[in-house]
Amino acid sequence: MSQGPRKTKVGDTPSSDSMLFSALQAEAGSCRFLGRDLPEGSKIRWEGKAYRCTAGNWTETE
Amino acid sequence: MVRLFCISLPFILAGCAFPQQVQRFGVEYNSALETMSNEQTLLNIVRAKNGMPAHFTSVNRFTGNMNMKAAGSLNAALRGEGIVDTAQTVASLVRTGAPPNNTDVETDSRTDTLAITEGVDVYTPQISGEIASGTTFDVAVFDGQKFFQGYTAALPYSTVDNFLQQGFDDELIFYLMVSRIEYTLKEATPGYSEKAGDVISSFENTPRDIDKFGYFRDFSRCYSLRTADVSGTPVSIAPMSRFTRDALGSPVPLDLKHVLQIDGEKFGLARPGDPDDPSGLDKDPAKDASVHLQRLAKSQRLPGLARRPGVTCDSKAGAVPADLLFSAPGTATVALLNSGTGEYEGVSAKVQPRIVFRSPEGMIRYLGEYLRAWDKIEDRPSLKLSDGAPLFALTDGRVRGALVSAELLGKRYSVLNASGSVRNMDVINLVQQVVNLQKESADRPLTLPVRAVQ
Repeated sequence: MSQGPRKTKVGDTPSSDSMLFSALQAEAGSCRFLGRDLPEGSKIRWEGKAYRCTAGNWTETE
Repeated sequence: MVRLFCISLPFILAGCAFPQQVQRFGVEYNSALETMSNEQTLLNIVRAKNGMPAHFTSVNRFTGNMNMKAAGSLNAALRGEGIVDTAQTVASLVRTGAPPNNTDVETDSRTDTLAITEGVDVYTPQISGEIASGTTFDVAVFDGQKFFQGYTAALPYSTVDNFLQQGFDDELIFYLMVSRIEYTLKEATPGYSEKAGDVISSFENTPRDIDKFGYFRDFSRCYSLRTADVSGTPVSIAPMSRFTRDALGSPVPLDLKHVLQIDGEKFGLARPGDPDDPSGLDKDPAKDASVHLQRLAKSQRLPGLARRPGVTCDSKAGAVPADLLFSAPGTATVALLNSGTGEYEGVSAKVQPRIVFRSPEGMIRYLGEYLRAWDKIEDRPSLKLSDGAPLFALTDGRVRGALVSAELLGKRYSVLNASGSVRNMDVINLVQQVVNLQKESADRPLTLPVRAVQ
């Protein structure tokens, strides 16, 4: 079962597909996806699922 | 002979002492300059840690003079030797009685003495010497426009490449000299908003933001900086027939004299339209019309991002870093905005990496930020390099045997002489070198991303 994107602390050892999102909290009010800092409210689609950047975290919307 | 030696002795001694004095002074000045230079570099890093600007001075002329005086004198009291005759004759007249019956008695006595004397020469040597030395030096202050134009300009890649070729640790160079790595889109993808040239991913080497620093650190675990020799593409300038015309303006067949006029190091001849053999001239003169003058391809030394061996970077399991998924050189899965749905999607696209290098000023400020972050955060492992040691570390206070120490605002900072100190001193060494390499520039400072190869 996919956990989806998660907030990950820097220094974590990437170990699962969740890291593919690299949904690291770049800075307050932005999220990071595939090396790109996206503003709050941005939507991404990854492996058929949709996520929204809310308070620096990716949350699944569907 | 003895006298001559005695008189010469001070001059001989003075002659022996002079080279030793020169040697001692020369080495002592060298050590003083070393201490001054290292301390100044550390002081500027500590200033940066406190958000203060750096200041540079240097001794640009050292003149030492040394006067050595030696004097010798010899006072001598010389006495002869031999037999000295000290014979004495004493005549005396003794009168007795009263006149007229007085009596005079006249006597002569003689004493003969022979004295044998041995002469003793007395020498009184005096030797005096004086060494007087003086030093004059000029302190140069670097605060002019030309200094700052060099000091604040990004390092050219040739400088970075030189350090890599000279065997400095590439990870150290990577952290110290690279400010940012960014990927631009090489060509637009239909259905997505980004245009060619848009920055679609970046890795910023800034300890100010520990998350961003973490991305960069993950990136550096996967990729190292390596120089790549890239050959360019020849550029066709014009058909040769444009240059070979007779008096009436009609094209004439190529002649040897035409070919000989071409600077072979810069230009060449080719037939770009001939799929069979596009190079040089054909044996068929009829094909001369298709011969073009070409500017030869120039090979360039570009920064390259090479995969570190033994590290899995792109696969799902254990991907480090997970930020970019490279399926092939120059191709990565990047986040592009679907112009129809308004959602960002992972799309495989051709990307072009480019690197922003720091200036000497940027390097010092970066080290200051690093030290500030080191003091501030609890999660220090995230600031360490791949060998588990920090990039640069200081110890508070005065430490006996410290390699370098500096004092700022009443607080002393030291670089310990301990394991790991080699990297610390490499950092100080590199900072000193780049500051000195870019001490003067006639051009306005400029920081441009440098195209890289991956």
